[in-house]
Amino acid sequence: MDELLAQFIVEARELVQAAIDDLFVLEREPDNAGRLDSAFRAVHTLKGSTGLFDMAALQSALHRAEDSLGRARSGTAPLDPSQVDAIVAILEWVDTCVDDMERLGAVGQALLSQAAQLEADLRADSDEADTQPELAVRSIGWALALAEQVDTAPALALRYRPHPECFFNGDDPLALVARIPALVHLSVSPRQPWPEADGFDPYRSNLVFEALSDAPLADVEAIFRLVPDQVEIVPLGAAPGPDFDVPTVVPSDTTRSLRVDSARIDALLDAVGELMTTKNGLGGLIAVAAALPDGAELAREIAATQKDLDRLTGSLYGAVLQTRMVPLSQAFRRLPRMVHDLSRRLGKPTDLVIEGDAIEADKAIVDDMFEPLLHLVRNAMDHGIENPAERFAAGKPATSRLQLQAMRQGDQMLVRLSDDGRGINPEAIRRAAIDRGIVTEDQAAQLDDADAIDLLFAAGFSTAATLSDISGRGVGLDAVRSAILRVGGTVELASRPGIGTTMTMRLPVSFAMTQLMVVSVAGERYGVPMQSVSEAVRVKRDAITPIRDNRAFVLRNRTVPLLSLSSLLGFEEGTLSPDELTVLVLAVQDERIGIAVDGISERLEIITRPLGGLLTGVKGISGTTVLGDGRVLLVLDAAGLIQ
Amino acid sequence: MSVLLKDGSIVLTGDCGVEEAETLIGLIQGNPGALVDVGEAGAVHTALWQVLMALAPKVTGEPRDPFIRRWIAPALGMAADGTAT
Repeated sequence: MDELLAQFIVEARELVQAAIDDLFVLEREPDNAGRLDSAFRAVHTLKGSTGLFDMAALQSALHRAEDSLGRARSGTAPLDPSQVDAIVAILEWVDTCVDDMERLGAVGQALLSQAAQLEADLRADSDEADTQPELAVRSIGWALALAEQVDTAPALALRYRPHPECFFNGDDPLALVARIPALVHLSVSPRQPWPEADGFDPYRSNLVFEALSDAPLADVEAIFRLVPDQVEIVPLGAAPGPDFDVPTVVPSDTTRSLRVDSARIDALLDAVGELMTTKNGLGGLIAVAAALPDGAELAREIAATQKDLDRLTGSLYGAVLQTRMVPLSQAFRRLPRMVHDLSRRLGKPTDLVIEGDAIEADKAIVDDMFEPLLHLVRNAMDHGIENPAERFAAGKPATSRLQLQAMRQGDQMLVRLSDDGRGINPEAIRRAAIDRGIVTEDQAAQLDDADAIDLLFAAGFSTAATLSDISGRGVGLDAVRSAILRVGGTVELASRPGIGTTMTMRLPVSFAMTQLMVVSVAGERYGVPMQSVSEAVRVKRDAITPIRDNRAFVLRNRTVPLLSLSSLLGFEEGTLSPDELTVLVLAVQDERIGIAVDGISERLEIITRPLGGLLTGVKGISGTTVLGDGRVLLVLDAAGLIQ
Repeated sequence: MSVLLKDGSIVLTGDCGVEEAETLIGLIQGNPGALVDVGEAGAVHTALWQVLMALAPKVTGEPRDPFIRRWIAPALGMAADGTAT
């Protein structure tokens, strides 16, 4: 890719993000001059750099956004929330365009054709700004009051205030309202009291329509898509229809703040890994040298060199890992946009509070964490947080609070997502788990509340009475847990009914890479850390000498005790190769020990994680790792086995 | 199609566009007490319904459009059977 373009892509994304961050603050604090300046500068710079690439559509849309911000900055036309929305929409569109450029080298035609509408939205908003200041108040109290007009629980409430001049644009508001499907209530009232007959202008609209409908949000939004600034639609959270529009946030797989192509860092890391494997080969050389007549001196020197190499490769490895460290804000920064969007779609006003996002972790962990985190946030918004009416009834503030905290703990970090929603009822989980055949009634009765809640992570578990597209269908927390396990972390859930739910992810900050040799015994595969293997040899059965209860064989004139992995692990000893045994020679402390295995397969460079749960404290096993195909490989602890 | 004075009543016939709002106002103001008959009306622009709401003349006739009959007629003080109340 053209270097200038590559640079632009990185910068454009940063500028888009910076501007959106500013705009979200401005939405809450319209008088924050610092943020306004900063948003203006970001949009201005972005517009300038699109000029380098002949992207007229982007430039024109950004110019429009810059104009609005500029007017707000000079104090002639303050920003209202609908303008903020329109500018954010333009910026998100620019972001998508940048994705296209990176992937395809150009922006798709369909995407480009959206520019005019985006600009029109912003223009309509600016015209609106001075005449309809009341739109700025985004209260949903009216929607709740309206919902009380009917006995049923309608899916959404709508308030449509046609612009006074709308008849001149050819609008026929009542015709739009007539298209609302599944209408259950409609009231029409004057916006301002009707004037005296002679002061009445028939060409100015003075109407407000308030409606309740059971139709899916997306269908109703589609009807009013050309007048989004004149209509407020509040989903009442009763029954999201099948066409519920799911906001999609594409997990980012590109690191945006690393100015070095991350593939280069990965290549460097691979090279370090190979260097470490090669360095391990010195162990064998030491043995060879030691076996030579008068080789002891040579063996010592090689051993000393190996030590130096150990230290150097170790620090090289650490340094490479360090370059991969990125702040958690990279995973967190798309969340405010998503929460903002979801809270409106679900009709659940929510404040997202983020703490500790400056903590750094390996890029791969931060990237891999994004999707599970997204899932947890959606889950919390969809299931955990109640709708405002329910919150009122429970005596909670209408706006819910979603807190995301990150803390560093040694070489791990805790990432905790807490909501102040309805919490989880362990009894409901027990019942659901029995219904779904995950546990029997007896088993369920024996679970304490924490274990019962943990059942949520069982495969195929979904407690929501109505599945919605927000948090997926059935593939729920089990997917989250396995994603977290894959990066060597754990996820736990704690909940207090009526008070809220907390999800705690414990993740490594960086990877501990281990070279493993995979061996098989009794049909199972195990990993043996390469650093404890000095070589692998074949030994003829008749070359094995029994010594009391034990056995031994001779390797380069030295007697090496022989153990069998099957019997160490408590299996029957295999008789796969009657004539010849495959033996791993392990160097444990200064001793050499042979371990007979059924076979040796590949070598792996993998990430191991410490044992948890049932396996904690099992002797001879140091950890587990998940293979590419999802199987779990137990990693043997050579020293532990032999003792 | 048009807004006309017929036998002392103001009659909306067929589709009535936004530009006929002014005619409607003129007829209502020029004929105080005249009934407005919407029984023959087709698609009527919002502006005309707004005139009827603002000036509140007596409205009669059963609107053909079920949406209008169900949701708008009550706001104009009409009974569901189309008789003026």
